[in-house]
Amino acid sequence: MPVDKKRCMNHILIKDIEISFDEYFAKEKISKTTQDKLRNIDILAVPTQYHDSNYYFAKETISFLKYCNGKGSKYTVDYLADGDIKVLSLHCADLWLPTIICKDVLLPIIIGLITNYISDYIKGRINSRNESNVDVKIIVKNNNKGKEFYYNGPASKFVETFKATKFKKL
Amino acid sequence: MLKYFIHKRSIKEINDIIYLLNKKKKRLSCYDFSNPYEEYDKSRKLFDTILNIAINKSDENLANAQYIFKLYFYLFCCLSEYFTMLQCKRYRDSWSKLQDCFDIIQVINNYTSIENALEVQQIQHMLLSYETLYPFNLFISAGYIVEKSHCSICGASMLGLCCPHVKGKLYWGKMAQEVIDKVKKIEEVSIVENPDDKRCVLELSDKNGYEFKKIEEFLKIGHPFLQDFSIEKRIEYRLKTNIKIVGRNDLCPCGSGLKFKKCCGKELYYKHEKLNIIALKRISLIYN
Repeated sequence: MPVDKKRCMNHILIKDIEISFDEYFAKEKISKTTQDKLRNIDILAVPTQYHDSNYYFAKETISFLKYCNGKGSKYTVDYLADGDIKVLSLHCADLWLPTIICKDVLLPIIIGLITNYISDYIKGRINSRNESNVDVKIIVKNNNKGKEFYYNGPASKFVETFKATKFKKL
Repeated sequence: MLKYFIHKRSIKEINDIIYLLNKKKKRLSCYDFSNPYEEYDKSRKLFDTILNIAINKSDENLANAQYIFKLYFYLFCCLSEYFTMLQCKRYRDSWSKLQDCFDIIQVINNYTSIENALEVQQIQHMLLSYETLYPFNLFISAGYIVEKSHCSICGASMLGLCCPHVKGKLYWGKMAQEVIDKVKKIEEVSIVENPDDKRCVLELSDKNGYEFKKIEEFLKIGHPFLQDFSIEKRIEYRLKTNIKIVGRNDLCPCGSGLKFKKCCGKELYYKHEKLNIIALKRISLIYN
């Protein structure tokens, strides 16, 4: 089936960003070991600053990371926090996935994992009246710089949206 | 999972459960909605025995299948109760019961492929049609910050990676659930169209029964309870009965001093939404 690029691109926002967690590290007094995860971990979930200026993780963070681990991935999986995380639980049928930082070579793997996770999630919701939306941010890192892919759209459009995105030309 | 459980009917307890379920389905198909949980209550001990058998045989599939089959059995009890509520005009309660049915179906769908879901897909389709008869389209949804929670199976924190259980997955006949111990604060309360839980509804302040007019009209038609249906909405324009009709250029009888055509004559008709119920296939309950 041909991919309607214009329609798909409405759900994705791509931009260059500076990767800096200095404010988060200072505010939450994050240990050096945890800070090093930014360099050492392959698939790393990071918190997002919300409007109350505090940092929280997305609702599905732990389930998604366990899912990645359970798939027997050879890549290391973790989150950027000391001890337990604080979760902002939005009581909505949308799928709130974490912000993931990874290297560029892992982007297709992350997209594959997210796609499978979404498929499992919506399996039970098949035929329901409202389609679930997905909210996920992937940051591909290159030293302190990164490219951020923010997807917010229907669960069913996730794959075709990323198919329509030509990464090399970005 | 459902068929896996049925295939194991050489186990006496499973055979007994299937007998009780068939009895329940038979009552349901005859519109006998009394004592909705009678057969289910009798089967509970049998399910516990099967779980023990599965654990002793180290058969996790059987343990999980008994969990799903138990839900499947429970679905028919909830259906009976739902129809009873409709008969008793307890529409507000019936909405919550309807959501119970959807929650059960969601778990069954998670663990069963469509072709092995027996009549569950048909039931879901029918209930989705029932859902459209209610006036609830907007829901209240709270966003909150969870600071402490634990796993219902192992008790370890579910806000870290130490606990091996994934929320919503089955382990030896038990579902891993996140038990929230501490909510730091309620961050927001929103009005949404697609909440996780549709039980918290926005209701009309008009409590004169008007809000459930659609479902009342539907029940008056006498559509059989276990028959699927679709609804065709037709807009009709009906003549208002409270307007005295005079000639277009005559003075309006309302006393405005304007010509009838420029006053009440402008709005002689009102919009009426007519529901056409199209009967679809009757749900064929499967007896195993």
